Amino acid sequence: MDLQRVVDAYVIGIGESQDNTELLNKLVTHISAGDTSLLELVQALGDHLASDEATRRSRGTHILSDVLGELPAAAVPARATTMLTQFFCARLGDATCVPQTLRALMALLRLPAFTSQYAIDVVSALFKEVHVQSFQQSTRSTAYSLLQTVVDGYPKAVQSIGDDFVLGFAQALDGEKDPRSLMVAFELVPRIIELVDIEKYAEDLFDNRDGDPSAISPEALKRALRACIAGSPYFGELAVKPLVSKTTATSVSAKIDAYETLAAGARVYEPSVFLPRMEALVDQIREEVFMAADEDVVRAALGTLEAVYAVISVPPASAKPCAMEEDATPLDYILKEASIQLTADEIKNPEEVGRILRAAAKSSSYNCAIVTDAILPVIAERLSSTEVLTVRRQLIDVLNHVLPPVPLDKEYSVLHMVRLKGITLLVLLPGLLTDNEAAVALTPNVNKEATHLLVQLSLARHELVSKVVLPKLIEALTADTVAASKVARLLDVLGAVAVASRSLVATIVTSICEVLITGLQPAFRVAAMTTVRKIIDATLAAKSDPELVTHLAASVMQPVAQWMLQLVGQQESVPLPLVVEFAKCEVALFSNLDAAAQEKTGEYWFDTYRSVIVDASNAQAEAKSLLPLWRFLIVAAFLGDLSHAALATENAIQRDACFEIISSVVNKTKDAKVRAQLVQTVLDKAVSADSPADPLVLLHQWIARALVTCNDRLGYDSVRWLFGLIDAKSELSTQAAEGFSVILGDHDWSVTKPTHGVFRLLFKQRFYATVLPEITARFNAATDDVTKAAFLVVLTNVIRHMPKSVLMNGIETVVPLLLSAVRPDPRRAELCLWMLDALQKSEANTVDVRRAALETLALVPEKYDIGVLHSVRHTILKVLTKTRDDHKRLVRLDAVRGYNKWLNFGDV
Amino acid sequence: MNITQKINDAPLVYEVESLERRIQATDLDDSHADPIDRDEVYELIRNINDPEHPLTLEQLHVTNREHVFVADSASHVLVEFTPTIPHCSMATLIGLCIRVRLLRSLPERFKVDIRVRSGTHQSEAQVNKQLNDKERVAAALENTYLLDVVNQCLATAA
Repeated sequence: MDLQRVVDAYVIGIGESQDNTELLNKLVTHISAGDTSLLELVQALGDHLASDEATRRSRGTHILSDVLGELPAAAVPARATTMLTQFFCARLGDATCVPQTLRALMALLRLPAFTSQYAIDVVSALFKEVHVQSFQQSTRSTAYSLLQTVVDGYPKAVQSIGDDFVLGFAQALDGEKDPRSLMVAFELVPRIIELVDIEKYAEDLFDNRDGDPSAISPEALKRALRACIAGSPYFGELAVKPLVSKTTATSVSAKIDAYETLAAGARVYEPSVFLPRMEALVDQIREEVFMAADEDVVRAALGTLEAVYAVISVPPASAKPCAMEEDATPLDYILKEASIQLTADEIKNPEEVGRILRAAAKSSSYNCAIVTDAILPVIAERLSSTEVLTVRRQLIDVLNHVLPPVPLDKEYSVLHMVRLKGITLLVLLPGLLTDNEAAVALTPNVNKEATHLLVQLSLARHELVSKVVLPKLIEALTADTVAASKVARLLDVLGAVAVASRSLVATIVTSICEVLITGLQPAFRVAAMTTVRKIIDATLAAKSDPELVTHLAASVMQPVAQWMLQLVGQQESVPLPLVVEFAKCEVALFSNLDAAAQEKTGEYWFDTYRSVIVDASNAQAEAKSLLPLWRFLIVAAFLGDLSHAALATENAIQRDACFEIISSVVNKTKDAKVRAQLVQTVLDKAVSADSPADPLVLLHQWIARALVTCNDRLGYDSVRWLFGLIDAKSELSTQAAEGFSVILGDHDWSVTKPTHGVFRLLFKQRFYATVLPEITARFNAATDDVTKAAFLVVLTNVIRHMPKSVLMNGIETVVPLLLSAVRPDPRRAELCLWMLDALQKSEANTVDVRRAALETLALVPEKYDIGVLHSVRHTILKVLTKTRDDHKRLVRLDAVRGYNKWLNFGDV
Repeated sequence: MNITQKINDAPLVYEVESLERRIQATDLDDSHADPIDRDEVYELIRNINDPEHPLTLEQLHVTNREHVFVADSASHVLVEFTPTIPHCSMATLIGLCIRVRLLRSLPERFKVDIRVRSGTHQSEAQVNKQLNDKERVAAALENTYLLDVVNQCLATAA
């Protein structure tokens, strides 16, 4: 046998992925028979094993490991085992050969001549040289098997390696995700624990990944897989069948998963793949809904139904008016069953029937039309024909469940709403249903559509609503076990009806207040008060008649106030939001009362204040919880008036004092919301005062000062208002610009640190960072000099009050702006340029004239600053360069002197 | 330049002869042209400071009136200078100072050649090549540090 030829053929065979079994058998037979020795094989492979090319080395190792794998143990001499072990241990460092090397080492491990020492060498080399996780699964698996063989066959070696073995194993396994490799690894762990004390490395082996940002949850994995399955329409045919059968699984999460995947797939797959399995799917979904085992499953199932119908039930391409009834639609599976249910003597599970129909109808406007066309006539007919109360109730139940949750943002929702409203109003027509039945039809549905319908109804038949529906709603509010969400919805309904129907405002507000005082659970009081406040706001915004306001103030608000005082008297604290809401109502009503009523109310509240807070020695904490009430009154009645007065007066001292007070109060108000409201009130009063504009500028500056120092964003609105004035070239732009020193400068007492003004950390920095870009932008955008100058004044006022460290940020924007303001005196520069004329050769410019001009020019850099002459320097240098070539030597010498002076001018 | 060890610690300092020209009547006569001559060019460079010592090139006999060759009509100037010692590493810098001085003083039409006087420096050819390579000179003057040193040397000349 020509060994070299066989080896070469083998190498080529590996390169071309051929079946080399024959060559391998040949080699193995010859070596086992002793015709050829292993050494000779290694020699024949020599070129390959020692090659510089990674692929050649890898192929050489491949052959050697193949042969070793097949050779009987007896054919490998002990000396060869030693050599080969050393060779392969070294080869582990060669990444391209690692897969083959590991196989070869596996083969060596089973040889009798393989000792514990070799095992130690192999394991050490493996841990040291091979980064197991960077290889593909088969190699990783071989590495784990190798470790397993060592653990099984050479326990002593493992023990002697000890801690390093555990550490190396943990590192090799770190990040392993493949279950096949994990199985091998997991089997190995108990064996290692038996052999080695793992105390030190327990944490490495048991790495808890709680804090791992890349930790993958089952949900994330599911989502990713779902995205793959629903990634291409070509998967449709293959995916739908197993998914539909998976919906019958017993596991809830598997069911939900299957439904959600189907829903996701529906958006991508061809409708045709769903059609053959629709019956099974609908049956399964119906079963889920009727059995109602788990609400999540039901929701997922209905979601799937909706998604699938959205794609499979589409309008026919050619619109045939009668086609709809004649052709079978995929919706038939649902409609037939529903018709059977609805026409049965007793309607079982009305809610479930309604939900399925709703899901189908929701899928598209076309499907909505089909479902309503098919079902509503049945219901209407049955309602008019039957007298059995239970059936009527069940029919309305079905209707209620078909009605509600069409999201308003879907394009066909208008169509849907109109249709449902029409049908419902038909149901509510006098005579068709009794009043009580109408109330039953409406009350359970305190959702968007029902509210809408109720509002419509309250406009047309408000006496019916006020007589029948409102008491039901109010009653529902006070029910013992009412849920918070339902209370919120009930209050929304009441609010919506009150806002829509003016005649019901007094009734509704009165009822809510009564409920609030008498029987509402404490948890819902704030919500109720908020509703009252919203109703009052809406009513006042619509310019209601004064009588209503007086009525609300006297007969509605006062009882609540007394109730709150009573609560306080009983040592019960009133929650702050409730007080705030009530105060808002009171303030809103107060400002709409006439003068006499205002005075009365004011007296009432000041008396109350005196009796509750001032006179009561050591006022209770509960009483203090009412304090925001007076604060609001003060805001409305006092600060507003103050700003009004300040703008109206012509006395500068009075005006400044008012602004200082306002600014101090605003600055010291802790709650941002209250502060915002304060500012709003003050500015509103000021704007509506119709007074001269210049105090308004000052007011804005003081408010900006109050807010900027406590880092309130609102302050910047005032700053921008001032910028706006400057931009608009208003007469007041100079005043506005100068006033920035009011915002940032020191003051003797108002909003200062000694008078305990609120000064937040780094407020100047924030002001600078916010305002500087705006100043720059507006300065650059300005076209006329007046505006530019005004912005420069602003900038100067701002930077004058900034600490140096702040100025260093953005210095590169500020300096050019300021430089542009420094204008060189054009006369000086022109003077130099005139001098240049005297350098021209002419009869008038004799040598003396030229020398005198040059001497003067040489003096200029000594006398003036570069900033003044910078613009002419270049021109002068150019002319002097020419003069250096004057035909008179003396002139040339002077020119050189002048040139060098101008050249160095400004360089230092 | 921070020179701790001077190349030539104790150079020979020569007496300087006065070269002041008397102003003559023709100097102020505009109809009479004064061509640029050897004295005028020498006047421009004699007061350049040595980079190492607070002495002028003239005092060290680095520049010499006789080693300046001017052809006004041909717009050509050749300046030869003599380093104080044959291995002077400042030779290039001195040459550069002379070149910059003439660049800033002579009319632009002139072509200026600066050379080490033959036989006075051990790497004469190299220095000459460097000094007359326009691009190398331009690159050297881009170096602000070097330009600073040159400006210091020229401060006394202006």
